Amino acid sequence: MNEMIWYYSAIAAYLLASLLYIGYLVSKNKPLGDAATGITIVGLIANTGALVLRYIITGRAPFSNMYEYSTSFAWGIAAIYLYAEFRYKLKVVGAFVLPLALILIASTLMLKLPTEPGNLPPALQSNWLTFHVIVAVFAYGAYAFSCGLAIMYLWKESMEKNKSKSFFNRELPAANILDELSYRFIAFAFPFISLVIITGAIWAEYAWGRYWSWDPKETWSLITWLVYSAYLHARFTYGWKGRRAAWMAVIGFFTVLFTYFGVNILLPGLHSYAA
Amino acid sequence: MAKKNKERLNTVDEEKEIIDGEDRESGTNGITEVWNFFSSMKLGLILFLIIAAAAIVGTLIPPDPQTNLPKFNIYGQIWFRGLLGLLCMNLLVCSLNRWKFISRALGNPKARVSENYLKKLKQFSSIRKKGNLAGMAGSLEAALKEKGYRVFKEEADGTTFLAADKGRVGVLGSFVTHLSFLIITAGAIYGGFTGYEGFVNALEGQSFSLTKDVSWSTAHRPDPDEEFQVKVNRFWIDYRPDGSVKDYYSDLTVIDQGQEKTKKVIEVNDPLNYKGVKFYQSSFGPANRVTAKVASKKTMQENEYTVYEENGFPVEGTDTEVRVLRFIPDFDPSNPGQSRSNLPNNPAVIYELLKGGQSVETNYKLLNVPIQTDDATVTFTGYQVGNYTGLSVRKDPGVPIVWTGSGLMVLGMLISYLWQHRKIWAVVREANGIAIADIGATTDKNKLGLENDFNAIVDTVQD
Ligand code: HEM
Repeated sequence: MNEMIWYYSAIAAYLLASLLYIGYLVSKNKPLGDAATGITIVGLIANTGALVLRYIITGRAPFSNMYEYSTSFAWGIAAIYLYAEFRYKLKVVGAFVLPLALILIASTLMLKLPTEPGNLPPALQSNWLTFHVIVAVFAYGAYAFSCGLAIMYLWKESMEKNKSKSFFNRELPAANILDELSYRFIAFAFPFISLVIITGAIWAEYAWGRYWSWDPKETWSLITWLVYSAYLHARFTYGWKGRRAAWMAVIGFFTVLFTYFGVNILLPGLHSYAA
Repeated sequence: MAKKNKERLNTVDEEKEIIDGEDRESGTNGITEVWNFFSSMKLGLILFLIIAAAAIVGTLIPPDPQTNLPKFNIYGQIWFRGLLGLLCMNLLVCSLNRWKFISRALGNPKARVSENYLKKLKQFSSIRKKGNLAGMAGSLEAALKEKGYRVFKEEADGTTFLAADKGRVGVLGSFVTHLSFLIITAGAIYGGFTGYEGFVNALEGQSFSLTKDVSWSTAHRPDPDEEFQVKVNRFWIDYRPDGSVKDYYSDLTVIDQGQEKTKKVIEVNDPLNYKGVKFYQSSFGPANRVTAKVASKKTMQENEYTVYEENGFPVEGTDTEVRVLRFIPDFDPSNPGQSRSNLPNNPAVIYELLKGGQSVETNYKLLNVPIQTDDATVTFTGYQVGNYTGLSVRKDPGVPIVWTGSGLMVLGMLISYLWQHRKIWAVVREANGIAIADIGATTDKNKLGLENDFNAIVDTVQD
């Protein structure tokens, strides 16, 4: 039970940080922004604590059920976000990204899923699975971040086009910076999503003797890969930027979320016994 | 004049042209147009999105409740395979087209470029400084080397041309990645044609034959000369303290040409591999054995048989056969088909009598209570409760190719990530005691990194 305190603290911190970032976005009040960053760090520490304690209790990587996956993915989003905030000094992005971490970590509660450690079914007892999820955490964290940036871009770009005199148009980072950063994180994530698919295939080869069987989870991760591949190639060769690129980044992240939630909850398949 | 034009083209514009995969120089004849379309990124993008859309539809088709497989398998359709094939063709043609550019980029850059070309580059700067040509060229060269660039020099008409680059191998990254996709696909196709896949339920203590006992789900089957047998020594389940299943195990021995070749205890995630044929722990089910004594009234002989459920034994000297249908550990006469519990409180056997292959009677008998027939006395004397193990059998010679391709894909991405090709040119002249250097730089990736290099070099030379 002890362990759950860390989990609830992380939820509370991400919730508070989301509100503070929104407050900062609206007011540009510096102390508010600093508090938002501080609380996000607290949230990441609590999130780490929840995962480490789960590891200590079970003696294995925390990847056995939706609670453990969601907590890990939220960790990835918060960690990538904080890295980007310090690296690029773009605080307001938090208002768009932290809510994604919040939604993920709180999804277990919202969907009323069990939080107790699950028993790893035999098929999931594989080091490849651990590697598979770790690379997914980074890929999904980066995709969440680029999606947050793309949403911001769409808003900012339309304000710039209308020559809006609003406060937000003045205060948000320039649209082309948002566009470029969103692209960078998608490019960063592409090798990771490729590794997610490759390690998943190796694991499936050991578990079932088939590295690829078109099961819904595999297929959806391929769809994610195809969408981002289209994004990157359109950008490399045709210089696709701006609204089209931003919409593709949003659609791409939707496929990530569907791979994660939709497949486990809506579509049955081989992986459903992984859930 | 024409030559000059060509020389000026020989950089950014040309790269762009080849990247697009659309060779603008070639005219408008039909074949070129088809080739251009095949190699165009446009087709590639359309295919990425169509394949993604078809794959989405495929996952939405509800599975058949019996087999748990989709009722309609989009991924096996010829048109879906065709789309994947088209993507590979597109990629192949595109890579072939780009090879010209890549091999040129792997060679040393040409030092002689025109100032006009340099001025068109995103990174451009013109330095004027008191001094002579040699001094300016020397400090430029030093600054470039300092930043890790390889420098190439040419002198003509009182002008010094410098070309410098670094991270050349980076251009191989995308080529290797693209090649890897083709290798993975080739491995999948090769495996599809030469491999096979099937399933066998094997009983403890019994052997099965690769060529005779496995039910295959693929059109391709093992050749008769691939034959060997596998003996299941034991199957068991490990439980955790809370009663949940920890793992399933089968202890297998491979017998090839009558000789024991290897032994392995397989578990989920750890198959047995013999001559490329892999045996995976996949399922299990109850299989009980029953021992029966048969006294034939014809031959006056008594025999003992131990058989699994669903198996039979003969009565010597007659055409009668007794089949054990089911073993029931806790028999309830008011509900004969159902065991009251798993405890052996009242063991009984449901059996079937056959004469000349025709069923004549189905009945039950408690253990050690004899059955009297016209030609024999049959008594079930003992039982063993056990399991059968369900093994997936698979051979896929394409797998090593797929793994090679996967490794290359990671390698290609690593190369792209670690090395970015950056190119810097300088044209240095001297007039009236003033040295003039026009410097331009370009890269396909990480423009910021190039900008940093560029500014540092310009600053060093200017001071
Ligand atoms: C189907 C699987 C494909 C994969 C996995 C793939 C992967 C990649 C990757 C990772 C890059 C970036 C490399 C870098 O950063 O240096 C790239 C670039 C590129 N790809 Fe693809 N690609 C695929 C298909 C295609 C197709 C079908 C075409 C052409 C019709 C194509 C044309 C290009 C071009 C022109 C570039 C940019 C050049 C460069 O950066 O070197 N790709 N591809």
